[in-house]
Amino acid sequence: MSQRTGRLRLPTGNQRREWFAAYAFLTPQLLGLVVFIGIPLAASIYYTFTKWDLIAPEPTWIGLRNWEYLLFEDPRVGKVLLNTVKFILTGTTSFLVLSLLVALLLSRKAKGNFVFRALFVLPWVLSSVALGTTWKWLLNTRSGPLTQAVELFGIKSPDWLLDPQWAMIAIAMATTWQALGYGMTVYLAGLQGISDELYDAAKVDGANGWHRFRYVTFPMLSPTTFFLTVTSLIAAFQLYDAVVTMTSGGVAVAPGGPKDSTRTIVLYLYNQMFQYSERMSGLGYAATIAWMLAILIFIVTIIQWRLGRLWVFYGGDDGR
Amino acid sequence: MQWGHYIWPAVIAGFEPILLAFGGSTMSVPDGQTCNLEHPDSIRAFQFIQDMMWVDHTAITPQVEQENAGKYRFALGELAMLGGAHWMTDIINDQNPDLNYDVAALPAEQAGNASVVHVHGWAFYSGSQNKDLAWHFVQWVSTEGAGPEMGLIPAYRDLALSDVFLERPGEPEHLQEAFLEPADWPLTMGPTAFSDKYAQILGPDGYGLAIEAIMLNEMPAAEALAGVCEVVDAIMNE
Repeated sequence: MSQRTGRLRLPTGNQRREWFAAYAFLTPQLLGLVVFIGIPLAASIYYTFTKWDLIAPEPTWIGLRNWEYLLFEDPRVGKVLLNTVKFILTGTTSFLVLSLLVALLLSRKAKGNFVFRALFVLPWVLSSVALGTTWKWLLNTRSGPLTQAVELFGIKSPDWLLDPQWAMIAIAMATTWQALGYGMTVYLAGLQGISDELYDAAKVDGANGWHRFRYVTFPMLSPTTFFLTVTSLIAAFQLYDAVVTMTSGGVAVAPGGPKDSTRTIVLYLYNQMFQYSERMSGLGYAATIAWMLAILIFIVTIIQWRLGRLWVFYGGDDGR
Repeated sequence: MQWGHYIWPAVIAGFEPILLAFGGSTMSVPDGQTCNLEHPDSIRAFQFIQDMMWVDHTAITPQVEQENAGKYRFALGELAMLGGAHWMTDIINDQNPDLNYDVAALPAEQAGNASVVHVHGWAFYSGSQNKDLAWHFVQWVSTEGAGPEMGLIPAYRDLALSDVFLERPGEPEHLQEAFLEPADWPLTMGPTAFSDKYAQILGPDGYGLAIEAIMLNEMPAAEALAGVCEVVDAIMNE
């Protein structure tokens, strides 16, 4: 509505052509979003109010029963969430710290650095099954190279994947090893964005190596750290394949052992979707678990954004 | 030869025949609807398995299995006996064609001889566009295609007992005694997936944690299995 004339201003021929072109370019993407994201999301919300084993001709409407059972009655939810949190704490922390360390080491101009960079990135392209199978062997109690490496120091190595105290840590080691190349690459990009002038100024002010890291590198890398923290936490919440490949077979037919110590929320979702025949099992309850996970990830991400305001430095005039 | 025996601790078909031979079972026989793990003979059988691993040191432990699976150790000649179904013969022949081995039925215990018959069901949809071809395929995998292509035993008894199957190149000598005659034993059970609750019962929400405790030698079988039937029956009755 035009303020001046109070009449609708109809688009001119040129504008119409521009709009048509814009929508023509947008349509395939919008269609993709609607078909592959919008509709499945809406359908999954609908299924949280239903019970369906996929064998019955159609789902049965049960209202909020799935949510009631998930939040107040299912005794396993707390345990699988705790297992997931254990992985987040160990896996995400080790990923961030080691990625930064490796990036700092390999950011220096030294001969052959590119070889090490390539070596660190290689595991990133491995499939999860290859990762799990390799690490299962690396950690085997009898002759696993990592087990033997620990015992070289006269320390009795843990029964990595057969000890509930260590199994999740072992999985975190494997996933960290795989993701390290990605984290290192992102950190290296961040390091390259830090101006040499800042280091020179710090040197002039008498800053030693630690001071330069603490007051220049770390704050300047904080957006990178923030990005990696958010994305790695989201990935950690979704842990599934490494658990399945590293804890299946051997002593328990069901992955998630020993003693249920590595069953994550996504693995439990799989149990309820495809393996269990309890009164709530099926697509409806699995969709409810998935939505709980999505809501959890959303809440954690919001908290991270809020906390990020306190420590993430974007380099603007006001430091934000 | 480094190890005596491997019993697939994580697979019900690995320990069920031993339980049956001892007079026990995981679930009631033949209906499979109620838990039988706390029966004294079931406990005795599990204790026997645990002792083979941790007292006699003849059977492969989970730690040893983690290093290299029992089935591979047998093919490598590191293991004297491997429990398994007929399809293992094709795998072993493939991995080590020169391995000189034979097959035998499991020995008897106080209740007699027992084994597990794996049944593979083949089906096609009534609305299939190629019903004739589908039927032809089902016929083939149930008969002459069963052994060489699928590693299975032909569904038709006369064919399974004929030279087409028994004398096939690469088959061990005592196929009939080891794999066919046990099907007639009163204690032989099958198929193992007796219920849609099977996966849950065998997992951590069923008796999975008790089996883990036994196989890892964390406690005696009686202690590990105490109270487990209450949990399993609750799942079955839900």
